[in-house]
Amino acid sequence: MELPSFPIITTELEPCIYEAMRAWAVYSVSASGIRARREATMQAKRLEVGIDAAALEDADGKRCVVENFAREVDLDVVGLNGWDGSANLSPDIWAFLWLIAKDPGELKIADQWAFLASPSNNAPALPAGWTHKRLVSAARIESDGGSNWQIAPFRHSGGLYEYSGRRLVAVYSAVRIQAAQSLATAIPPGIELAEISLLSAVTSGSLQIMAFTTGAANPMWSAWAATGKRGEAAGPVYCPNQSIDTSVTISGTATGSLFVTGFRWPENVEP
Amino acid sequence: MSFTLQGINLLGIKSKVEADMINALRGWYLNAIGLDNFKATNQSSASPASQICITCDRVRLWDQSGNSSAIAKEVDLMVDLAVSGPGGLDTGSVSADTWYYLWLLGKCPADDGLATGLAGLASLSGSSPAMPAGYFHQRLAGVCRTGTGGDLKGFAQLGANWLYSERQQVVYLTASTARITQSLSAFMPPEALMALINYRSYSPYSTSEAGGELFVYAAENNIAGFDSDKIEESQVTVWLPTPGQQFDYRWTVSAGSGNTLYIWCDGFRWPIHKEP
Repeated sequence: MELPSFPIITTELEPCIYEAMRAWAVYSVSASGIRARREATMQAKRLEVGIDAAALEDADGKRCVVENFAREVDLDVVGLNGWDGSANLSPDIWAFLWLIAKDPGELKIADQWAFLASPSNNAPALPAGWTHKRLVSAARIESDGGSNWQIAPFRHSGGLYEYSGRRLVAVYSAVRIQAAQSLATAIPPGIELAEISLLSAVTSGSLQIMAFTTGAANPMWSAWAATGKRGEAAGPVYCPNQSIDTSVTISGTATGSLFVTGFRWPENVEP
Repeated sequence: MSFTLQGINLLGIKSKVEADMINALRGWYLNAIGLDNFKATNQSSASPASQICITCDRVRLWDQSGNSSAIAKEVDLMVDLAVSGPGGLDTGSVSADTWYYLWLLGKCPADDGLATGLAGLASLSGSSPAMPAGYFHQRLAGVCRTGTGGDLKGFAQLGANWLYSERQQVVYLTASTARITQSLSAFMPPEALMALINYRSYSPYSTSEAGGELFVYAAENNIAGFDSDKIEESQVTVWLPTPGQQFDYRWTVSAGSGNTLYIWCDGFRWPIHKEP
């Protein structure tokens, strides 16, 4: 690592140096300390989000920095630290969590900032006057079991995003030749590494369920069980386009289930 | 003196103090850059047998002395093991069952901290690739593996997570073994910190039973232990520390026939932010 040293300053510096100091300070930051969570014990439509430091960008690529910010976001409220209002919230959509700021001008250190949840992972509906943004996390909106919606409980820490309970993606009860299986109900767009688990549950006969990287000849994971037993397997799989392949061999009465337990959130991403 | 970075053109610098200060600021800026949002895979290229697609948001390259560095942004390039020179192999032709290290190369003729002419390079060396003419800045970014016949094994490296496209069989047994050491050198490079290991004991009949343990190499206590009893399989997946690219295991058949032990390697952890 280079350890730069400063000369002794005895003269007034050129303005461009101050400009460079601010610019480089901003551009040396990506994002650190990203965390978000909604526990099962928390209110169903609220979550907590935080960052240690993050660079935000406006539509022209100009940046600013936000440091040490954490707060509760209420998706049941339209506005800052809430929902962007560009669509109605309902089960089976993603709520993408953005850190936004007003343009601080040449100082480049944000003086007004907030979180904003949006159905868009690339263009949230920014309130008037709010120009800078960065995507920091996402939450899955699901049915609360009745007629309302809730945030699927999760914890997100840096590159690791884990659900509080594994999310059922597919159930198979018949033979399935290797074919594409979407994971879009459990991993957001742009995510390419999913943590999955497989369950073979057999009443009589036997069942083997396999998960493949798309198009691979051999599986990454497989789970087998026979009469009266259950077999499980779990691990990560590369899943471009939110998709993997699955196959099922079965005889008798049995079900094979595919779950997602979490995924890898990209780190050090440019805003 | 003029120095342009991130749109700031420093035409106004007049004194040595100011020039020294700019150099110091540049150093601080460069120190913050590693290998950000790196991805390498042969799963989405036109020729997955020999071509690797590489992308990253930002990368800091170093000259071979380690004294000078330069950055590049929005990297998107390809390495083809069937090609020689920048964008291909540094020397020779591709071999079967071999680790090839993936390097990012750049030029920095103005010594202004900005890398130009970015290219990928595959090399047998993880420490000193044969640099093509005109390239002085480099960074070790990842690794890939050829299989029998020299074609690439399917893989995806996302930052520090390196995954095979399909599980790789390390052990297949149908008879008991006392604790032994198993090499992983064909499944993970020496620089990898730990391997993703799946240990599966399979007992398919009502009379069959088996069980075993998985150990970090030379460790006293196991990291996983399990049994498969009567028409049952038992499996566990762990990120296993692998000193010397190896691990220990034992497996005992206690009853019946058809018992089988499988140990697969699914990937490994790569030291993504290691500086030279």
